[in-house]
Amino acid sequence: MANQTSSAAKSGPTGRGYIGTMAAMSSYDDESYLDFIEGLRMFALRSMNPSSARALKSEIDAGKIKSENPKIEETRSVADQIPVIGIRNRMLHSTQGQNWAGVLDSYGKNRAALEQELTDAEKDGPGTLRWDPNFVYPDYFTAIPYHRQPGSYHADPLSGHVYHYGTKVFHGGSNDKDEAKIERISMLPMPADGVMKKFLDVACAIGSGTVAAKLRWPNAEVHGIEIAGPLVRYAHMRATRLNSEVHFSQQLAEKLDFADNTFDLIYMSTLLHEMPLAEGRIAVKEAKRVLRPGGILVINDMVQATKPLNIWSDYDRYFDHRFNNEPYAYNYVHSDLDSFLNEEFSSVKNTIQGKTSTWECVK
Amino acid sequence: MSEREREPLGKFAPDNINDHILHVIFELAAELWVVKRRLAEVEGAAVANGVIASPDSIIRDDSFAFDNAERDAFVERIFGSLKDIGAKLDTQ
Repeated sequence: MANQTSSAAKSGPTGRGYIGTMAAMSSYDDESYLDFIEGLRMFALRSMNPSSARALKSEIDAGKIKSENPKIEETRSVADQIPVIGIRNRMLHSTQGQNWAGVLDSYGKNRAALEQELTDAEKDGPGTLRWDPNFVYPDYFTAIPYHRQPGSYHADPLSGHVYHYGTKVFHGGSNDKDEAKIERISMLPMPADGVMKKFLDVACAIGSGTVAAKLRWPNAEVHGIEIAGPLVRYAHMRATRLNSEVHFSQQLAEKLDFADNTFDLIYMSTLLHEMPLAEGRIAVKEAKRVLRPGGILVINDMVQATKPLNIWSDYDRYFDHRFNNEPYAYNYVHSDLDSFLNEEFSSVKNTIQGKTSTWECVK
Repeated sequence: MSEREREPLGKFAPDNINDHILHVIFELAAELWVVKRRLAEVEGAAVANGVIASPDSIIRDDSFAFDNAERDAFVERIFGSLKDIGAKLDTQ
């Protein structure tokens, strides 16, 4: 249901208030456009995906793919020819482009106000912000705009705003008030000794998980680090608006500036699939360094490839690799992360929920 | 789409139908513009007469889940048949 708001209720940099914790689009039409894109994307995921998986399975059952663990070229030679899969691919590709363009165009109408709120919040609390406008990004990070987001995470001052509304569409509206992140953080384990004084969110993006951690552990010192300047600035601005005492800083996950054995619990969510394998391994070792003995590193990321292979999932992951600027994800899901983690930590517990795999690694 | 409705697919539409579909899209876009233009006139009059403060003062409230259900039904009505196409185009 839509309603009319009084002029007093209008606020925020677009003058139209907020949807959940993000500034509303600059006009009702912009919001409606993106609302439709969100619905079409949900249709692609809820209806077109199962139909596509069934269609591929029928071709596999008909003997079109012989191996239990086919190479992606063999899978593509069959799947790319299937009409319902082609339509699904077009739908996902188009809605992704429409999503980013729609958000950027709309926020762009209030660019000055949106950039100003980032600057105004920099010295505000209760939390803190450390970032460097001359930060040198590694080549692997600047090589492509992740997920086709214009300006990627780092090259547009509004990248945090755009990322937040863009991921609203990605979540289908289910995380407008951080609901999904709060639930995810509520599932994190405590160290066995029950001590939880310092928490670190590695690659915290816009800090929604970080703020959720402060809600769960209000007496803990909560930190979030993020490579992208615009994202960490947005994270601080948003946390300040929510009156959350979180300490954000711009850092490489591969080279943290915290002392050894600092944190009781470290959360690393959806980072490793966005890094080359070697850098990802370094990031895990670095998290282990700043984790205290008995502390826990929790990794949430894409599910690793199975044997026998889930052929549809493998095709879907490769589609993202080909068309959605996920250059490292396909290698990541075939990287045997479990073996690496078991070598590094005293104990590792792995659980899978839907498309997300969770590793609880005790130092 | 029911099997009965699916059956004639491929008999009615020849291979070069893409050109015709594009033409339909152009006509639809023109009709959409007509509606948007008229709607803007109506909104302007509503604001001028104090019926609403501004079209952009309309925001979604906490009952937006109802909106999502309506929206999702709208999408399903328009695009729902696409998910039934399956592994092969029906050209009998």
